[in-house]
Amino acid sequence: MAYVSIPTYWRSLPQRYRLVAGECKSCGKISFPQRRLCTECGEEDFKEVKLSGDGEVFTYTVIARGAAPPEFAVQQRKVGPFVVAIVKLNEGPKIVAQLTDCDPSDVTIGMRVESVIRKIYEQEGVIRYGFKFRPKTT
Amino acid sequence: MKAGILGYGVYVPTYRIKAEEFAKAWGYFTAPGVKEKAVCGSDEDSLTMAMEASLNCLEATKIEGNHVDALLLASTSLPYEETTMSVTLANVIDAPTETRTIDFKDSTKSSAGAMLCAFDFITSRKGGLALVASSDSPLAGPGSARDHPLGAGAAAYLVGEDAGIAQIEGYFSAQAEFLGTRFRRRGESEINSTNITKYERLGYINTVSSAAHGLLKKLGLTFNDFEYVVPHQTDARLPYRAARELGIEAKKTVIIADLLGDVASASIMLGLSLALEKAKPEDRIMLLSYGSGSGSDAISLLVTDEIDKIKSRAKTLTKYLNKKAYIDYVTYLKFRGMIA
Repeated sequence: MAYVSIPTYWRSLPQRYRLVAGECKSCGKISFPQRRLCTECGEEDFKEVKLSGDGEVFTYTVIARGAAPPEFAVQQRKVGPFVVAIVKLNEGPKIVAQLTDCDPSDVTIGMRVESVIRKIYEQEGVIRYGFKFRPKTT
Repeated sequence: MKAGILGYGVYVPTYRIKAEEFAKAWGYFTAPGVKEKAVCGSDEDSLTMAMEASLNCLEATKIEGNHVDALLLASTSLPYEETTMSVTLANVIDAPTETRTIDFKDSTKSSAGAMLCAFDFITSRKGGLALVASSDSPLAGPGSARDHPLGAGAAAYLVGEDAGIAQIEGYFSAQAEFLGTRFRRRGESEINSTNITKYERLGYINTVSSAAHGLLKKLGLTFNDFEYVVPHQTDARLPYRAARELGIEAKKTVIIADLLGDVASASIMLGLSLALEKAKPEDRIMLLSYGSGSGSDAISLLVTDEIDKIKSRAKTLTKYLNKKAYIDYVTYLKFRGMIA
């Protein structure tokens, strides 16, 4: 079973709740989640920015029945197959996230998506909330 | 100085189930007038619904979360009995450290309780911003008739010192104990009640009537002065009955239960958003909460000239009602956690 301790999850809450990223003060590249050094220019001075949550599906995979890790077993029993995608955000970064409120058969590469905060999973009696993406209709 | 509603946001889950699906499963459907209702998806709950409604509210009012002074979350169906979920909500909307965070969880009148606290908070501080987030997804036993009407949804209101789009004109709260009308013991996730129809109807009509008449007397008004009355509603028929007994014209009664079911404490807040969609400047709206116990709060809102500005910006209830995907009864049972 994959295990993310509560303190570890807690450290990522600004990213999970508000999509807080780092904008490199030297070259402007957005790092999400923020790393120690900018992957573009190697500098380590960032400005905190909040991403819009808008982007597109870069690629995706369908987690079929029985394939989900144990902490997602309940979700899988309720929903059946679900999609994990790499979403390319408008600001540049690519991020791995679940898609929600859509059927796997409706997902296409390049599909516009927007972030929503949902229950990701539950562990040790504590609900872990964070972002997922759903098709952007407007 | 009178506080007012600056703007609002709503959220209704995409998933809907029709009354026919229940009738197919059980041979009957016990919620009069409820044609369909909303259902939380597998990754949704009353907190996530409150998040989206709150973010929509801030977007509609063009106010950043870091300007919010108080965040009041009202729900009878939060996933924790103990923990302050308005804190999680505060962190999602980026409210500052010094935000007052309070959860209102007593009964289906908790949303009105939160709204009244917001009004008093703003009035006593002579300013500031209070966000009232009302969200509910009540649960009952899968085989029980109580489950049939239960729906899901959320609405959030930003209260401030301006008259905004609707000024709070006055309010009157009435309490009258009618024990056993709808309750849930600690450790239980499903609602319970006496199921004595006449007794429960008596509790509802008497208490709501007491609050409504108290408000009219306090403000020196009659029901003729109101264009819309938003009563707490567990189905789409009882509110009309209450209106009839109170002497309110049926066409003034705002109904959301026909398409959303019984949304517990969020029902009057969603009903208010529907009234605000239709309201014109100088219209009066009366909210009538009802909480098993029982108690009722009657709140009078006077719509201002600003109402049209918000109409184009807000993601209205009608928009959310039109965005839907129907599910069958088995999927309903899974999403509700009754099986799986």
